[in-house]
Amino acid sequence: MNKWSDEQLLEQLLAGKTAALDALYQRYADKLFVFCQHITNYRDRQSAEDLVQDVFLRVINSAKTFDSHKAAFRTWLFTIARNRCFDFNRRRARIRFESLDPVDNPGAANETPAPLEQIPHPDADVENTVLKSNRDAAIADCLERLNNPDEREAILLYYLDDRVLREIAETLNCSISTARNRITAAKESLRQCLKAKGYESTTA
Amino acid sequence: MKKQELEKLMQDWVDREEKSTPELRPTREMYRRIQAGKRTGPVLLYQNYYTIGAVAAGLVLLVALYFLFVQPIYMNRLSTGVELAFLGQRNGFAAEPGVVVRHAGKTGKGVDQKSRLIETGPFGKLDIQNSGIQFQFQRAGSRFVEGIDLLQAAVTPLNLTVSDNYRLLLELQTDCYLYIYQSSVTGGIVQLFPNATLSGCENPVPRERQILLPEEPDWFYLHQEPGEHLLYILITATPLNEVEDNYRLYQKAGEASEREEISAVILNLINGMVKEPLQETSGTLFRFNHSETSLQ
Repeated sequence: MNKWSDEQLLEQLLAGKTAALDALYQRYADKLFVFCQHITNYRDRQSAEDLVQDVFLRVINSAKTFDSHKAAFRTWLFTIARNRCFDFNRRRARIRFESLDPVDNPGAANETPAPLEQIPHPDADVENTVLKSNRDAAIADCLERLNNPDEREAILLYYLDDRVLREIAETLNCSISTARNRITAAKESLRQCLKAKGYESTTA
Repeated sequence: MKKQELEKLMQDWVDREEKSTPELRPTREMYRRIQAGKRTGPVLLYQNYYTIGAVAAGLVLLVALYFLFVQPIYMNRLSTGVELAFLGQRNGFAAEPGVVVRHAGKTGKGVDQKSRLIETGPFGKLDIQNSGIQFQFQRAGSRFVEGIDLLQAAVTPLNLTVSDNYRLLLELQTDCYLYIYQSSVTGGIVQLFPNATLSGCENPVPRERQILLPEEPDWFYLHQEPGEHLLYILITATPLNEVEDNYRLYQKAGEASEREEISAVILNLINGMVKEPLQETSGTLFRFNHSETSLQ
């Protein structure tokens, strides 16, 4: 089923063929995992895994309502993922306010975003990360330090979803120019952040 | 940091992130829900390209079978035109455009006289060099119309059955009077030209006028006594008043014996013109066989 389009796989899924779900999982589960992991701010792999499962359950339950004339499947899929991540963030934020122990709620900073220079990351030791030349961690850190969560979504979709601006705009429910602006702004922030971390002209 | 560097950095990062994800697999609950929510009713077959191909091939086959077998049989049973004694008119079968001339060729020495189909006279002083007189026929079930050039002798005997159709196509390069008669083994005779029920053209025929007998979409077919049929095509510079008068008498004659007598006179006259052409009158005789009497 690897050669089938997403929409054809969804039709097969509606016809009760579980192999279609395997194919969709193979195609999108990893991307969704990365997307959810970095949208939820918590870098929690188990939560991201749960979110991916939740997204696919929603896909199965709502497959009949999908209209391929209105949007591409992957746009629909990432829109579901985005909404599930928002719900997750809201739930976690509520739990934090109900808890008396702030240590258990590292995502508290997400409620009131501050300029990136002022936010020390709650989990990661940025200096040590840079010193260890852990580039991936540095990028993840810079992503999380983006001022605007919309920019983070846009830049993640941009690199995960094959750079189709129209689909990114549909997923974010904004215009194409807005999506483009967010991506541009996110890239600039990332460049500055990485530059500050010593990745000035590193290509290795 | 340059733009390209950032792009490469980010792309590498995304690739590594995707590779570093845990093994993600659908849960049993998902499979169960898919099975439970299986759409009832017909599966959307159009999603399957193999099915599309099979359905298209089936349709093509059905259409081909229709044109090969069903339509010819159906058309055979349509007698839309008039009955002309031993022959009738009906619509032609569906066929490829054009005519396949299969029997052209001059008679050589030593050819069995019995197998000769055409006896062509010299046509006197009439210039018919570039004229065309073609006997066309279509076999039931065949996709082709075949033709015999009657200005050339052919050696292959032609057998037609009641299921086959035939017609004549003429284009003469001279202003003339044209007479076409067909006689059957029973002694019956039919004047095919001039004949208002078969063609809108009358004598005299202007040069380069194309005449199709019968006119589209009709064809002749034979439906009575099997045996040899003779087709006489006479081209003359002056009207054949004697033949025409006799044919009128033949049509009015009530008794069979009287008809036979008059038809013998007519055949004698036109045979003489074919075999011993006058300066201004000559013709062609085409023989073919009719081998069936009824539709199977």
